[in-house]
Amino acid sequence: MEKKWQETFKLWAQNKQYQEKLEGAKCLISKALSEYKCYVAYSGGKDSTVVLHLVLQLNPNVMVLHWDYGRYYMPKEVLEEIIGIARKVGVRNLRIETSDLYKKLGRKAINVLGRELLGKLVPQLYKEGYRCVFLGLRAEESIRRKLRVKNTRILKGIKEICPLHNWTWLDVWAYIVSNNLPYLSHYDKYAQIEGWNKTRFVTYFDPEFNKFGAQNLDGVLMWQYKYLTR
Amino acid sequence: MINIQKEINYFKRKMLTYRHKFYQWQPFKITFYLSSPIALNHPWLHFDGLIAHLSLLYVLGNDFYLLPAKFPLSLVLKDGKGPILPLKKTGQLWHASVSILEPYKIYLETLYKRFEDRFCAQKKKIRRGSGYFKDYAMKTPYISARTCTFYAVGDIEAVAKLCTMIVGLGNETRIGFGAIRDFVLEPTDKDYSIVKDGKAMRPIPKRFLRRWAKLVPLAWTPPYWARDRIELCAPPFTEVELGEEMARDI
Repeated sequence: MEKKWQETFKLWAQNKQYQEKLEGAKCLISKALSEYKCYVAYSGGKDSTVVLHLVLQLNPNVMVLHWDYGRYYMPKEVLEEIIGIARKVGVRNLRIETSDLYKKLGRKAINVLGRELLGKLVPQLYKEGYRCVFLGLRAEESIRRKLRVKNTRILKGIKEICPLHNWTWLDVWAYIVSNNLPYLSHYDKYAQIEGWNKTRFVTYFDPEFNKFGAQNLDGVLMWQYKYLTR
Repeated sequence: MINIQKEINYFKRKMLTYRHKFYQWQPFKITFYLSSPIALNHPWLHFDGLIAHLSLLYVLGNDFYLLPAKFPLSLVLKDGKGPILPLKKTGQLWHASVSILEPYKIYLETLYKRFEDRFCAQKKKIRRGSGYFKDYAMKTPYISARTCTFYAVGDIEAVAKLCTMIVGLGNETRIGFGAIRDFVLEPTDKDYSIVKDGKAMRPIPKRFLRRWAKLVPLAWTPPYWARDRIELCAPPFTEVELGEEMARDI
């Protein structure tokens, strides 16, 4: 990250509004932790890293769930970086789940997350006693997400809590920079072109995002992983 | 199936009429001067791919646009009488480098894809806010290069003739990206099309190399979109040492 952006985010971290949002998120987390058996859904992106850090400060033994999209959507090097970041942040109880369909179907594996994670894993977690999940969703991201965080969803008996629901991209980066948290090198690469406000971490060469030109950008920046399917 | 075979035979007949007989191989450098940024979905362009495209365009004329979609016709032209490019070939490797874009700085543009009448023949109300015909924004990276240079070995005259047909390089040329102002062909003393200063100038399959710094699955011969052309290759601009057979022919 360039120095000017680091300074910008550090200054933003002193903002009163940011401090209030941070306190709000901490209250939400501590309340949920006291009421339910919780886990953190961690993708490796900036938002889930912030949620992870906030939760770990209150409960260092919390279960952290990472969904592995398989090497065709998430190259091995990136997966290793994600796990490395989780360890650096202080995760003790990391659980990595995946589906064989990713290996079998490669980049033709569509809607596997819905079928496997929500259809099989979430009911399994419910059986294990989990009643609450911390997600890094923000209302700012899209209208669909705005509605999702507004109407707290209970999915297969597990309540979704989004501590960053009212945070902006500036708040998220301010938290990362002021707490000196590690983040994926993906952001440094993509932010140079897309900007720090628009950079998102999603699966690479995913047909779901092809319509929006994600593959065009992945093709230029992550070209070494383009033909992993073959 | 019968119709596809008929189509293939038609194109095959037409292609076989195009053959260069007397090539005078000469190493050269071709520089395209661009008047607008070049939109790409890969970090480089392949000169052999460009020449293969132009050769087909030249031999098929308007029929080029009727070619069976995403079907490498070279697969059905296994007898070796297919369209021969005016470029030198060693083993199976064309002597043609990838693009060297200068300056190389990537930017991002958003193109707005909107509904057009031609997408739908039926006369009824179209919903553009959601569903199948929804308008959407698409990210398009572009490089604000002034020049695009390639190194190759081939028949300079034939290449120059084909290159006059190019309107633009890269993607989205129909909306003005990659427009060519001019191009200059200069003979060079040495062949820099495969290796230059110990660095690969194009994707080179592992089997042609003795040493390499990095290996990545890449397409290495045209058509570059065909799956069967993908192999473990040394990517362009990485350090390599050619195998004996290849090194002798260059």
